[in-house]
Amino acid sequence: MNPIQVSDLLFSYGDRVAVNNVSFEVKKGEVFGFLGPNGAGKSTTIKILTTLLAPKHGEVYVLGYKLPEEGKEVRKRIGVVLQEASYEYSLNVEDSLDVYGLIWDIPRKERRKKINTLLAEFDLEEYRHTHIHDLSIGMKRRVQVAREFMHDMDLLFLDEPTVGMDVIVRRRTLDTIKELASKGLTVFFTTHILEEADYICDRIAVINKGKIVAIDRSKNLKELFGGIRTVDIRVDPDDLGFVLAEMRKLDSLSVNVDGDIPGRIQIATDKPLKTFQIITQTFEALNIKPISVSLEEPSLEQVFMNLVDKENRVVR
Amino acid sequence: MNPVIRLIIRDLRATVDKALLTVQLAFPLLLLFVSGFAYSKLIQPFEVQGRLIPYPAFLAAGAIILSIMFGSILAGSLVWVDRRLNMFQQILVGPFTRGQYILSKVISSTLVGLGGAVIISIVALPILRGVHITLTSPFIIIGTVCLSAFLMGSMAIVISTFVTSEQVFNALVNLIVFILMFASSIYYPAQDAPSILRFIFLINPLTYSVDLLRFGLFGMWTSYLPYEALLLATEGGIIFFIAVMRFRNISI
Ligand SMILES: Nc1ncnc2c1ncn2[C@@H]1O[C@H](COP(=O)(O)OP(=O)(O)OP(=O)(O)O)[C@@H](O)[C@H]1O
Ligand SMILES: [Mg+2]
Repeated sequence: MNPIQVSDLLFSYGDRVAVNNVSFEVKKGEVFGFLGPNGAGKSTTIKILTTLLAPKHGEVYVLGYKLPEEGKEVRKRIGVVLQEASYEYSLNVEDSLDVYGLIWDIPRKERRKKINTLLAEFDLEEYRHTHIHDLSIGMKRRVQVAREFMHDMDLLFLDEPTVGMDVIVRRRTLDTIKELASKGLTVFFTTHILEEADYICDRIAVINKGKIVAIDRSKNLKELFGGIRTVDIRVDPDDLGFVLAEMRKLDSLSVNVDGDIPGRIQIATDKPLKTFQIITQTFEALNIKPISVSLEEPSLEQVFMNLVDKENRVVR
Repeated sequence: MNPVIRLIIRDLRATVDKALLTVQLAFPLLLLFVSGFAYSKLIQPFEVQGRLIPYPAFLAAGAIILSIMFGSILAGSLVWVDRRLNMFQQILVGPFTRGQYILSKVISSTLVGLGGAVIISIVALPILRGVHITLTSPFIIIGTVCLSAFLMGSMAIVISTFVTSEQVFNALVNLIVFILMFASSIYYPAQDAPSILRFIFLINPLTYSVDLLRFGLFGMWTSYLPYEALLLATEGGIIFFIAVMRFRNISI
């Protein structure tokens, strides 16, 4: 069975439906991204999967255990970084990691070793003896994420883990997670930062208003929902006039000239292959060789806007 | 290591506010010295089995129980500290059950209460006249103190599950402490209370605690005592049960 197996999951806070008949599965060793606007139901889903909330309807299996009945078994095997900052008021960074290791029953010697590794990895060494409430927000977040690695786990939940982190630490955190995933750790990851999801996730589910609107590999999502793509052509600026004149004869192409870069033509299309063909024929007819022809990747942001914006407009 | 023990160590290392603890010893100490000696001018020592017990010594038993109560109320406030700093959720997604979490809070508070009781007892030693220790009294004293701490801690936790803000919790606890304190046998024996008050006296767990402790310390026997012991244990069990039940459904 997959580490996470959810079918027809429904959850509501009173009358407000937060997760609406959602089904998905997460495979072993996969980094699974949960992407969606504010209030989409990401955190609620995490709270259900981590046994904080009980599903109102539907079947939820985590690591092969049924929720909510077998929550106790699940909790022994998962790591969770919640969206809300959480810390021990009176402790410094080192003690905070140590107490966390202690409640996970990690022997003292191993705790010492882990603390040193984690402080180095998350660049916290110089704050070892600083009280948590004297740390900046991003620093606190680092401690919270680092803390979770004090214990071993089969499945890790991360609810917007990199919020407040600077670029370098963010990248290092993501790389740490990637590396662990390559060793078999399964990761459930939510974020607002689309490049981040693109960088780290094997598969992505886009959730909006409690419903999953798309779920696929990030590459496929872009192909499916990226919408209009751009063919980028570079020619010798001396040839530009001829090429443009020929292309503008064709109604099927919407041609743009980049005023900043001489010899650059951009063609927007929703049928990139067909467009490629037409372009090739045009160049052959003119007996001109282009410097380059390339297809620009749509960004995940485009996918996201396409999916979520369309839906929100329809709903309103 | 047992999960409950791990959580208790965490409480003692990370959550219990040492400054607050010191402040909470202030009231029992005040009771012990200021009230005790002020009233002893008005209230004559009384006789139990031929031994003379001065009023300050009589009050000392109350002070010990009070220090347990203040320590125990910490349990409820510990839950609040955890909630405010979101460690509550973090622990509940860890390798624990909710029952283990509450039990750890109750035991942490019991320990803190016991610590307070030991300090107050040591301080009160010079004024504890007329003490009569028998073979059974250590058991009675320790049993009473532990049961009282357990009950008070559970009660604080139950209250903490009903209120949604820390301020309300503190206000409510102050009110309840005030009622429990004055409608109990801390200041005078229950039999001597006016009849309307006697009813409150008799359902008030503080009364049982103080009476039992006085029996342990001075051999002060009343015919109520066996019932009081029974009630203390039952009320403690019931309140702890309610705490567990409330906690199972507490909103996150
Ligand atoms: N404790 C709560 N009580 C009532 N409603 C809630 C509660 N928590 C969340 N909600 C509602 O449930 C819906 C989903 O919230 P959720 O926190 O899961 O969103 P999210 O996708 O995590 O959003 P964000 O990106 O802002 O973190 C929202 O409409 C929110 O208002
Ligand atoms: Mg959220």
